[in-house]
Amino acid sequence: MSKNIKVIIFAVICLLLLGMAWSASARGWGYAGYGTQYSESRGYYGHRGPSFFYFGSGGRYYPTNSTRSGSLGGPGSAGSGPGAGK
Amino acid sequence: MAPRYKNHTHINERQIEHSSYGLTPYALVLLALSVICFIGAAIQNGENGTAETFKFSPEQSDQEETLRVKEANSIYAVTVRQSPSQLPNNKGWSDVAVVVRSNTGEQVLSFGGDFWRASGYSDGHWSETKSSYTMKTTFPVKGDYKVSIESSSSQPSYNQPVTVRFEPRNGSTLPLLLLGVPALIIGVFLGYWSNHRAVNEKLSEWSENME
Repeated sequence: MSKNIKVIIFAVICLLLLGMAWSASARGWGYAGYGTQYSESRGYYGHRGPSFFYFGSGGRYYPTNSTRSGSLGGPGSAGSGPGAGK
Repeated sequence: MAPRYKNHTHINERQIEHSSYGLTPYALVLLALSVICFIGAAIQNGENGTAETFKFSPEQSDQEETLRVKEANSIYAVTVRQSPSQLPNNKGWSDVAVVVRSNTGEQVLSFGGDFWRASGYSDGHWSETKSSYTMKTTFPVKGDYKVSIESSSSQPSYNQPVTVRFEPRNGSTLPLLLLGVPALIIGVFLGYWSNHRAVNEKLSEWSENME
């Protein structure tokens, strides 16, 4: 196989990877909420947090069943600064 | 000073620039891929529609706002802001979490962060504040969602208003960056590996000229 053909095949593979990445990007892959499923019987379920690769200043938060009363210790399980680790 | 790579076969500038030398073509393809990925990520990070802003009062714990998501897989950058100016310096904090629920009350998304301010003296005065955080989110199902906040603070009540802004975006930048960054690193490495003698020779010449 000539070198040019190998390079062209390599470029086509790269384009395919680019297409897959673009498609995943358009579907919001990696962000919080991606992958959350919905079914009539079960309602919303599945993955809800951001991907391992996500870097942002907000952190995932696990609320109690009642958002009105708050949990023991309340919010603040994520983040940095003086309130961290609360 | 003698050239450091004298024992190697001399490679001229034309060969460095020759795109078919060694693994250079593969390196060029990878570098082109990384550039396309970075441009694509910038495009996908662009705004796509009108942002919605909700203002919450921490003392009104039952306040709920409605976010209308018009399309499945809608992507939003959610920015939460609260002024930390009334918090005690260096020790005060305020935590605000955003909870998104479906119309039937199920939790769909929840995320949080804290706000604070600090200052001191170290080679002069310094001060730092954190008054916002951003979480990028995907709403896989279209419909109306209920948005509320949960808050707590180092002091019994901290009633500074909280602003939650939902800014629609074209897409997620993560897949493109996950492809683009390794492509850039491998492309640079391959390009260097393929032309390292010539590149080192050239660098050696430059360093001699600088001396």
